[in-house]
Amino acid sequence: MGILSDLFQHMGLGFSVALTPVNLLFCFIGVTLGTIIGALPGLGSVTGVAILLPLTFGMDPTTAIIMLAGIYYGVMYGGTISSILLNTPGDAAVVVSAIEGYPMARQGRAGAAFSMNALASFAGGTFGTIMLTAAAPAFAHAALRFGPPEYFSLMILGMASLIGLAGSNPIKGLIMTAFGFLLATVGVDAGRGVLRFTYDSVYMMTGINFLPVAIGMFGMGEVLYQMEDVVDLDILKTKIRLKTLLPTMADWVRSRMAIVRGSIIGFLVGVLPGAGATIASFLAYATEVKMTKHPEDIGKGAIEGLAAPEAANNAAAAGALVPMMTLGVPGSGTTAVLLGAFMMYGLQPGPLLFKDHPKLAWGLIASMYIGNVMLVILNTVFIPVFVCVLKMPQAILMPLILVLTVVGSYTLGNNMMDVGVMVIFGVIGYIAKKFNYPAAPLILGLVLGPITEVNFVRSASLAQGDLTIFFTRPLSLALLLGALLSLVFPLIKILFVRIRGLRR
Amino acid sequence: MYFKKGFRTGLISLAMVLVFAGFACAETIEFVVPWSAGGGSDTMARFLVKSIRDNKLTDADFVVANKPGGNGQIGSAYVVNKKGRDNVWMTLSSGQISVPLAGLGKIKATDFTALAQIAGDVNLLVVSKDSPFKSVADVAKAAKANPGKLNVGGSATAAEDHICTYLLGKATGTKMNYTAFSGGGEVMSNLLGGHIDVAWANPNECIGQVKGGLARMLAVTTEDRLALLPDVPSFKELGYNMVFWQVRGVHGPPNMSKESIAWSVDLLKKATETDTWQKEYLTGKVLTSRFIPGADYTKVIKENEEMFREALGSMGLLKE
Amino acid sequence: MRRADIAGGLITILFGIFAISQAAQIDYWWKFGPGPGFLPLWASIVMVFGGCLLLIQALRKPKQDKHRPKDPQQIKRIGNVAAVAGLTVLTAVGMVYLGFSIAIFLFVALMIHMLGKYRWYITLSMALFISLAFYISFAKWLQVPLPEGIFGF
Repeated sequence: MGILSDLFQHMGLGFSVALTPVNLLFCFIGVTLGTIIGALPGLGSVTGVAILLPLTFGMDPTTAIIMLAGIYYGVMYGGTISSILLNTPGDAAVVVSAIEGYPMARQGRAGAAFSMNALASFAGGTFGTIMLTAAAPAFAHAALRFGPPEYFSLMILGMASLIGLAGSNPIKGLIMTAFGFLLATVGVDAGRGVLRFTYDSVYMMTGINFLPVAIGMFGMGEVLYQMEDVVDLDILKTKIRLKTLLPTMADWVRSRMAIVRGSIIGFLVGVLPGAGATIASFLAYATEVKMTKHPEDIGKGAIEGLAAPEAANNAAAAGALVPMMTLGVPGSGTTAVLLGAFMMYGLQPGPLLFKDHPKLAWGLIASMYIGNVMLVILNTVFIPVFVCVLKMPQAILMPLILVLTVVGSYTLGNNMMDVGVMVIFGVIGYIAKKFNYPAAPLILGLVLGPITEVNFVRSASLAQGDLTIFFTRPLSLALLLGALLSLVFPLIKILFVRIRGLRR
Repeated sequence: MYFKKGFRTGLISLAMVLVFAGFACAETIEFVVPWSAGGGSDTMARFLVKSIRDNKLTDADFVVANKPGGNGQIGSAYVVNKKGRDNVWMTLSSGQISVPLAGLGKIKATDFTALAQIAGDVNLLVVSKDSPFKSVADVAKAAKANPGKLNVGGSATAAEDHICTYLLGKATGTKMNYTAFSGGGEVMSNLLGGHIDVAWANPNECIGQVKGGLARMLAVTTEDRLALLPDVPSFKELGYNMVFWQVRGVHGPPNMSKESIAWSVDLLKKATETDTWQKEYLTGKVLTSRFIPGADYTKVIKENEEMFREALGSMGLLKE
Repeated sequence: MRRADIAGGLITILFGIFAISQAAQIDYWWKFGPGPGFLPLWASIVMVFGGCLLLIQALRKPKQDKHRPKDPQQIKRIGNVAAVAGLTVLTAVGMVYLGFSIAIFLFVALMIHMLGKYRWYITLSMALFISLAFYISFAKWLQVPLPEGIFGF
């Protein structure tokens, strides 16, 4: 009982802080800015928070941090808008949402996709915040048990689950995955400090960033593909129809468990200091690819494949605050910037934060409940506005998307290299789509490849060459066994069906 | 219907052109940060600009331009190409000195016009609360007993933390095993999780954990104790011959004009004397106040480069 | 699809062999296990392997191209795609020399002219509006340092 009454007392304090008019206003400004920054390709949560950070000085620290955090989780909602509408992901954490979200929009179900995004994001964000409220220190300490070998094994588990992504032709999926891994090795090898495939170019040294690749493959590739139909160069007809604004009952039933799974995976992965919302969304999607009852719909607008990663990236955003607030260790790029913000206000995130600054800590957590409510309203009310974009004449929408992809990839690093990468992969994306090579495995290899490799190198270095480290650590072994299970699971399923058939 | 308003739109657009032509006229200084938004250099640049703006030290405006990638080499290449231009600044941190020496790039810190060092950062040797090591002597003893077995963590290869590991090994006559992580946050969580034995950290990366009782600082790399951390001994006073300062400075493109150098140094000096800089930035980020202008700063960079060259050479990582 | 898959398989094999030749130059092993050349080498070997599988799969498919009606518009379709892709590349290059705003203005104007049949002043004012909206929101509000050309904006 003591714990519960403590909790109520803390939340009471938190809401008394978060519900003051000023904090409500800045919470609203934060989540709105986050939605906008997220929806613009290229500008992500890290950049958004970093740019606004110096401008918040002179404000009350609690108010400032409530606003900056609002930008962070607002981006998770907003980024999906451009993923669904334009097939051009607005932030790294929503890349995977384009895989199912955009086909939904093409089928005239953009409204349903937006509603599902708002609801799944809300569920994930709120779930994450509840866990943050209830058991942050316990999760933070558990997360510390994840060392390099565990991250490596987790990535193997993620990849094993993603085998189902290959699409209609598994051979083409295999080729694209290997291509993704190969591209991921371009640049400075982080673990060993060696240059690979750089050919003396400063730009190649940076490596191939996966966001411009995703923007090119998805966004520009799709526009080029549509150009094929413009045979007469006549006024294009609006091809994206608008049937419904709301998901059907069947959609809810399909997505129910996906949201639950996505929220749990998202939060757990978000808490890990070496992962983050991007990895969380990929792993949640991978799980759905494995678990779905409609495998034939994957990649063609399966709503559960949109709901799960959306729940996951929002839960991960809340999860990433767990190690930051309780241990003072940032769980993602954006929380690293937020950590800097705390320190500049003379606040010390870490074990003493909740004790020394209860008003700020609990006020921030309470504001996240309120912010999520604001976001779900904002993202539902404006659905007709988002959908209006699709009613624009194609002759204007198409150049607009292309300009967004160019500007978006430029703003990532303010250099032309990323624009070049985007355009090259735009053309590759068109060819891939035309000849049925799936884009998702390539993006996957680019995202998971570097983390897998660098954690392998670190594990080997820590164990000083003893590679059994992956099997002698219980957590790592369990994850690897999980990967094995996920590989044989489909076989067992087939076997099970056969046995049942024989009995009959 | 939709486009009947086209003509009106045209007129409005024309008016907007005039407005933004007006915007473009003001004198702006492009402040290049060769690292990504939110990092140490980026925070420094944004606070420097804030110190200048809030205290109205000049009429000129600043745009912070992050050009990350290639271990700082992309931004550096951009600034080198602005040779002779007066309205470009660039942040410099120690990584930009060591990277070209490790063969990871061609542009050296000495290629630029050194304006001033505006802050100093130091390294701390840290252990977690459960560690058996109570002092640097304990660490040295353990390293001596099992050569090459003690796991030291830090961020990046061939950069500050790696070099400090070498310097400590040299000062204690031992050999340790260094593992690189990406960023101070990852180093700390691996230290707290017991995956590494000791770690290097900047004060702002570990002060939260130390105050919260999760970690302990064993020693600092400065000559004397830091005013902010009076309980932490320096390696020097413990009898280990190692001193390491991390540079944070501002540079201009090659061949910057004399007037511009003088103007910039003067502005930087004024900015670093403001309350905004001293209180909000330095204290907040637990940095040390250090201002070394012009020729003296050039010397600091050269000395640092020599030290890195010697260290990387001994570590077998020198690839000029 | 059969011919395309044969071509795809061959391209993959050739690219994979090139990647193997490059990856083989990087250290395969270092003091603590697999080295920096390990992953790229195996990734390229898998590419060659996948390319071979694709080639075999395609060659085993029956030829049926003869019966398929030829798409008379095929060249025109590809031409459109190439035109748009080329225009995007030109715009990206143009951004460096002409500056962001002018390059984007020209791009949007040309695209709208190509795709839609609007009167010239509507096309131009739409292009002007879009490029200005981008300039003001990115360069002025979000403080993104967009490339400046010879005209200074």
